[in-house]
Amino acid sequence: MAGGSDAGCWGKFLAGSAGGVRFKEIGGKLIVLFAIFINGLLYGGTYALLAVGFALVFGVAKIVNMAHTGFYMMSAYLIFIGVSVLGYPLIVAVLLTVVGAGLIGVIAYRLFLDRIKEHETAVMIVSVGLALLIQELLLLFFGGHYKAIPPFIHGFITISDQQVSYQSILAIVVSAVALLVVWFLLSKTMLGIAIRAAAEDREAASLMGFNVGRISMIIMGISVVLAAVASSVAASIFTIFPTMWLHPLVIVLAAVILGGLGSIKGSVIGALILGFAESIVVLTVPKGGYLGGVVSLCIMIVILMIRPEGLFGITFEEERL
Amino acid sequence: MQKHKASWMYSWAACLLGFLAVLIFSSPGLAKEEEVVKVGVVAAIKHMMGQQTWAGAEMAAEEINAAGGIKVGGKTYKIELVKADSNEWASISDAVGAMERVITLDKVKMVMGGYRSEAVLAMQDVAAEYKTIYFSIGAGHSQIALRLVQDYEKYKYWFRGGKPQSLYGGIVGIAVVDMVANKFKKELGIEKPKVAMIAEKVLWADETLKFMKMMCEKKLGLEVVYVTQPSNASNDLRVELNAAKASGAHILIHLVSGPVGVAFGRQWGSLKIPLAAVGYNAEAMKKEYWKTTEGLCEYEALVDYVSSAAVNERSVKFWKNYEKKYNDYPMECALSYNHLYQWKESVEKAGTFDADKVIVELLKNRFEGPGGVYRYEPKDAKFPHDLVWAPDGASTYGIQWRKGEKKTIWPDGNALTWFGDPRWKGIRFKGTVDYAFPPWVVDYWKKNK
Repeated sequence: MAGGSDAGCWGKFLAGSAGGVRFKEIGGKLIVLFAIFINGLLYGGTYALLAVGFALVFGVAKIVNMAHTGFYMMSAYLIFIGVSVLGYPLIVAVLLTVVGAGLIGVIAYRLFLDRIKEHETAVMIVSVGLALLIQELLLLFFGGHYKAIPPFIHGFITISDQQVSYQSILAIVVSAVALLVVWFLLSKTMLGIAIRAAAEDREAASLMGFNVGRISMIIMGISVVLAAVASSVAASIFTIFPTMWLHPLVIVLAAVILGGLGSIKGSVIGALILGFAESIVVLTVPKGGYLGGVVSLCIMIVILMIRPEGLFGITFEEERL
Repeated sequence: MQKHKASWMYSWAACLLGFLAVLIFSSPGLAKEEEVVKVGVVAAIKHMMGQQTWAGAEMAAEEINAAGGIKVGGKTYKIELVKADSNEWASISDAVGAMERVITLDKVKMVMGGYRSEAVLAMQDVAAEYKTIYFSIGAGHSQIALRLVQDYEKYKYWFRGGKPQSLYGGIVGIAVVDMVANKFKKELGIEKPKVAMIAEKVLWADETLKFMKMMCEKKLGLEVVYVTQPSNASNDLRVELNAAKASGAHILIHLVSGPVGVAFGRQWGSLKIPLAAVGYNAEAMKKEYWKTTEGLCEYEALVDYVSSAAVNERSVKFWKNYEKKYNDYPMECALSYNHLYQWKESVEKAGTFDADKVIVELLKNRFEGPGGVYRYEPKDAKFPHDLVWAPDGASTYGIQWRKGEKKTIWPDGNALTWFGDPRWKGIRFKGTVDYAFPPWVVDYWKKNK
C-alpha cells in the first residue's frame, strides 16, 4: 500500500471539522440542582477545611503559608504509602497520617518559618519553596505517576437518578464534623481563647501571659492536621499526583480573601461559595467545564470590587469567629 | 661482565615493552578507539510518557549495540543515548532548552521525544534550525505535519514518531463505537444508541473531539446528546459522569489523559455509570492502571497503539521483553524502539550521518515491528512525514480491559464501510477477542429501554 493512500478519505472530514462543536444542554432538570447541591457541598467542604487551616495560621501567626496545600498533598501520599506500600488498613494509615502530618507541620514551622516570621515576604517565599520541595521530593520518589487511595466505603446510592458514592457522603459528613470541632476548640476551650487572643492582638496576648510563639506553633500543627483530614476524605475520591497542590491553593487563597483575610467564618463561607460556583459551572456550561477555577476567581474579584475587605473582613467585625 | 649484564637487562626491557605493546594493541578497546554516535532522548523523564520513550530507545540501543552497532563508511559506531528532561507538562521553554542543549552541547545526531503537541511545535523549530533529525514521540496533532506542507525544506527534519496522528486514532475510536452501537442493536434492541462525550481541554483532544463527533453524527447516524470539556488538570469527573447519564446517552466517548484519565476509570466503574465507555485514555494503557483503579476499569474500551496480539513476530517478542524488563505494558511512546531502528537502517543505507541524506532513506524505510509496519508519508502527501496508517502500515488497535489484561478487540475482521475503507476486511490478529458489555450497562438498559 502506497504512502498517503488514505489521504482521500481525509479531506472532507477535516474541512467539515472546522466549525465549533455543538452540544445540548441538560439543564432544566431537578437532577442538575441536586447534583449542584451534592457536589457543591463536597468541593466546598474540602476547600473549607483547607481554607480554615490557612486562615488560622494567617490570623494567629501572621504567616501566609503557601505550603498549606503542599501539606494536603503530602498527607495524600502518606496515606498512599501507608496503604499501598506498608499494607496498613486504610483507617490506620489515615490516623497515622493525621498525627504524623501535624508533627511535620510543627517541625516545618520551627525549622523554616519561625525564625523569619517577622518578615512577611520572606515567609511567603520560603513557604512556596517548601511546597516545591515537597513536590520535587514526591516526583523523585514516585515520579509523575498518578496514584489512588481506596475509599473507606465502596459503592453508591442513587438519589434522584444521580449516583452518589458513599465516600462522597462520608467526605461531606467528615468535613462538617471537623469544622464543628474547630469551632468548638476555638470558642469553648482555653486553647481557643488563647488562639483568639493571639489572633486579635499578639502584643496584648503576650502581656496577658500567653506564649504567642507556642500558640503559633500549635496552630500550625492544627492547620496541617486539618489539611490531612481534608486529604483523608478527598484523596479517596480524587487522583493523587505531585502537582495536585496547585489548584486547591488558588481556590483556598480565593476563599480566604473572599471571606475576609483572617476570618474563620468568612473562609468557610468563601470556600462554600467557590465550591458551589465550580459545581454550577461544570453542570450548566459543560463545554466550559475547564473554566470552573477561573469563574471562582472572577467571583472573588467582583466581590472584592464591591467589598474590598471581603465578606467578613475585620473592618466590620471585631470578633473573627 | 658489567657490559654483559647491561645487555641482558636491555634485552629483558625490550621483551617487556614488546609484550606490553602486544597487550595494548591487541585490546579491542584500545587498538582502535571505539566510535560512538549520540542520540538524544528529550522527554518528560519524570512522567510515564518520557519513561516509556527512554525505555523503548534503551531496548533498541542495547539490541543494536549487541549486534555490532551502526556500520557507516567502513566504521562501526555504538549508540550512546543522551537523556534530557523536557519538562514539557510544566514548561514548553524547558523542552526547547533541553532540545538545544543535546544538539549543541552533546552533539547528538538525532533526537527523539516530545509528547505534548504544544511542546513538539516548539521543539520542531529547534530541529529545523539545527538541521537535526527529530522524531516526536506520541504527539498527535495534525498541525505538526501541516507545517511541512507550508515549508518543507525548513521542517523536513521532523518525523511523526510513536503513533499516527490523533485523527487516525479517532477513526479506530469510531470503529469501536460502531462495534458497540451494533451490539446495542443486536443484544438490547436499541436501534440508535445515543452518545455522550467527555474530552479534556487540550489541543489534541479538541481536534479529536470535533472529528469523532462529526463522524458519529454524519457517518454512523448516532446522536451526540452531551459534550463536556473538563480541565486536563481536573481529578474528579463525578459531576460530568452523572450529567452524561442524565442526558440519556448509551455510549460514552472519553478523550482523556493524566489525572483526569485515572479519575475516569475509577469513577465510571465505582459509580457503575450505565454507559459503555469507549475512547482514548493515556493512563489506561499502563499496566498499573488496573491496580490504580482497583480493577474498576474493567470493560473500559480504548484506542491503543501497541497490541499484545500477534501483529507480527517482532511485536510479540517486543511485548514480552518489555513487560519482563520494565514490568509495564508498552504504549506508543515505547515505540521510540522502532524509530531508532529506522534511523539506524537509514543511516547505513545512506552511508553517512548527514541529515539531508538520511531523510531520503528514511522516506524509503519500511520497518516491521511493534505497532505494525512503520513507514512514512512522502513529501507531497497531505500530511508529509506522518506515519502511514494502514493494515500494512502503522496500525492502531481497539483494546478492552478484561480481568486485569488489555485484550485486543479491533481490528475485528470487518471493513470500515462507513469510512469507505475496505482494507481492513479480514484483518484480525491471533489473540483478538469480541467486545463485551459491562454487566451493569446491560442490566440498566434492559430495565430502562
